[in-house]
Amino acid sequence: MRTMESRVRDYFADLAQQGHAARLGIWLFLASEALLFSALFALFAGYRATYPTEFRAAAGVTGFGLGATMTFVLLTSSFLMAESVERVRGGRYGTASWLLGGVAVLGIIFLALKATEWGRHLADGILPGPGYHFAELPERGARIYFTLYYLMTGLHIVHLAGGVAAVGVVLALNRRRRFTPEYHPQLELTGLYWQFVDIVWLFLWAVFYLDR
Amino acid sequence: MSVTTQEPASYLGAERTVRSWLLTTDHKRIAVAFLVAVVGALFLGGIFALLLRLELLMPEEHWVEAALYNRLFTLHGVIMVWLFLIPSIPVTFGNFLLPLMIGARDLAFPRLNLASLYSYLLGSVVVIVGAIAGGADTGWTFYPPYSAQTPMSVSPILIGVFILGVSSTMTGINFIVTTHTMRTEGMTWLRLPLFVWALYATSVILVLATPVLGITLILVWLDHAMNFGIFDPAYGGDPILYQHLFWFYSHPAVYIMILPAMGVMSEIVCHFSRKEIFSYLAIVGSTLGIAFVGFLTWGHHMFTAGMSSFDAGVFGILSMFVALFSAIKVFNWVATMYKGSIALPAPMLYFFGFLILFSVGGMTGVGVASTSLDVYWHDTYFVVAHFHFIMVGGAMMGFLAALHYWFPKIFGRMYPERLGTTAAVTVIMGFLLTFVPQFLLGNAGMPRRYNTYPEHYQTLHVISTVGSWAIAGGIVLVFAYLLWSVWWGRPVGRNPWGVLGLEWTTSSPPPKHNFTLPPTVAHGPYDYWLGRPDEDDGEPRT
Amino acid sequence: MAGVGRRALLITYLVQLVLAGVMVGVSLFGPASWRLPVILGTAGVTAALAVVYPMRGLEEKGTARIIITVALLLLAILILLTALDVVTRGRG
Repeated sequence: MRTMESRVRDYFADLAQQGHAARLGIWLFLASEALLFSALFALFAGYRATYPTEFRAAAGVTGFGLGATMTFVLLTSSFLMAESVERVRGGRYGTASWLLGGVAVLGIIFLALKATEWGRHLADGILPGPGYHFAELPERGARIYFTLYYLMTGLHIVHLAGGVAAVGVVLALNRRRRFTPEYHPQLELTGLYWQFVDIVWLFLWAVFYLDR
Repeated sequence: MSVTTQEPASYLGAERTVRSWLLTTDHKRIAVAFLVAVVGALFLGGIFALLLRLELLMPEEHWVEAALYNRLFTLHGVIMVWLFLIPSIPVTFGNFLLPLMIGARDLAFPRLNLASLYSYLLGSVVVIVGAIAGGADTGWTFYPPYSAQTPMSVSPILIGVFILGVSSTMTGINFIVTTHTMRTEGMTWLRLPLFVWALYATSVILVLATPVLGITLILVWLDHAMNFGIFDPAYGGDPILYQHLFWFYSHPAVYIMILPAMGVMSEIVCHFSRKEIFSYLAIVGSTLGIAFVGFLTWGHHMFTAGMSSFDAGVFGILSMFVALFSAIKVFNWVATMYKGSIALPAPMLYFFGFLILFSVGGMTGVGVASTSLDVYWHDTYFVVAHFHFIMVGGAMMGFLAALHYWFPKIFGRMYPERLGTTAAVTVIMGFLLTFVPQFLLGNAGMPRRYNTYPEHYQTLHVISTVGSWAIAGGIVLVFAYLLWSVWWGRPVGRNPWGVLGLEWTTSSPPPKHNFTLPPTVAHGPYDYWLGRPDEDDGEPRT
Repeated sequence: MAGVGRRALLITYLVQLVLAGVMVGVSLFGPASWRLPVILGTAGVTAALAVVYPMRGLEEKGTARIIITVALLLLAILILLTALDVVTRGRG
């Protein structure tokens, strides 16, 4: 097994500096991702101000219960994610593996719920862009609402899927005992990313499910 | 003073296989690869400019028809902005010098740096494929609804620019983390060279602004390729919302282009006046100020678009603030020269060009950022002249200055100074000939992006086109003698300019790992009052 | 590096669930006019808790905090001024 010293890349002074650099890097990446989603929220805000009635009517079509369930699923997965980091810090790698497994399962459940939801919408004629033919809400504002809905929740699940893959990788690393209580950057970074994806969902949930 | 120990092999010669270059994580090799690529982009973008200026020699359509003309100025803009200006100084000189200037062995994430290079190359290839497939005719701004409706091949260009944005973001993250975590012993924040501060501020913009462009390009691509109608009024869409998102990136983008050039100018004015900067803190403060306030002004590109007059007022007022910071810098640089010991090699000539051209460009910027004046000047040649004064007279001067100043460090050889002077004067004079008439044209009402015009504009257009040939001649001369000098220039020692700076304490070219032992810093970057360094290293000698 | 502590993480999770419940309640029963701002505000508080506790945002050095603050400020301005354009059109 590689020693801790051998893990330090030759241009870093020590492991602490390397770890600090990794964390700073991920915060910067998350800042850029925040701006990425914000552009879409700005677009949404502009159209919400243009078509307030149609937007609220359209928000009534999204599944209220389903949305709340998805929020519960993600909040719980974030909790398990944070717990897994704590376990690794305490040297409890076995428990951490279970927790990480739980995170991945909940992530997959979320994706499955989203797929069901999208399937229902598509069956009703709610397609993005030119395919939109939802008889209940034929107005232009509703069409724009649902196009944005697919774009924004779509971008979110792409990020979530990436997160699930990262959790899988981190789970594998943990099972091979590649982490120590002091040094586990891949886990920390994945944890930060996962929390971020959860935060984005909170705002998506607010505008697409609760603003009826 | 002789060196008794064996110097390690330079980064150029350390490993000679093709694989060692293709898979290099050495920031210096990556910088040189980027240099070749962005210079190629400069030439390509320049060719499109020369072609469109040829059409403008005559008032009527004589050489290219309007559809082709539209594609020429679009490709000129896209290539110059995203393949040349945005990456230019950061990925070449930033990559090469940042670790050297802070006493580090490499950037914080060398493999991310390589990924940045390959994504730049991929994005560039995709854009060029789009150009060959016919190119877009929307202008570099891709405004909907026309960008959705045009039959031209917009898609590859949109996707290519998106990929270039990924490259930019990676560079930005790398530079910020490097500056925070890898400064050597004694290199405190307030001892950093001003070029490093400039790169840092630029990187903040790269990280925060680029994603907005990325998603916006995807949206307009969906409108174009799949008729999504996000911005199409026929489907209830609002094209002005596109403009908000586009300019939220593209205004800070102009600061991505100019801040590194300003950083270069701070270095050059100090080192070639043999004097410390007039006020270090003022430059640092104004650098960060430009980066932040630059995010708050994007609406001044939209005064005539149909935006509310409330927003127009807000953006008009906020736009006035950013000029303050640039003014602080110009005063600082001039005051630095006072009682300095001024040398005038090519980098310093580019500095003087920059000083005048950037000042004019900046002041006309305040003009077009005033709502009442912009109503008249918007979409005329006045705006075109304004931004070329900044982009060419400012940013490109910075690139050429940096190229001449650090050429001996990067390649270990000096360029011929007399040719350097000739080329600099040619480029600057050619620039004035090209773009001063454009202020006059714009003020007289000549609109931009038109290939035909009323006869009474012809004289100014002819002068402008002749000027473009002078710029081209100067640029070709520059790269001709620089290319020659790579192999046959006079070999130089560590510090051919005899200036302060950690990068001048290593050999020219530097060894692969930059420093045999991590250096310790005991003074500021421009402390010439401690004594001048000699040509063996960059430390002051009393 | 000291952790946030498992108790703090559990409390954060429970508080987040409560806040989500508040958002549901406001959505179902709150008056239309201030529904959206309250929901978004509550989402913001929930997000802030995530940043402070499981993401250990306050433990990071000043740098990361400045990055977070600047990014938040800029995204707020982007959303605000874009929306304000639409809202204030036609008001002379």
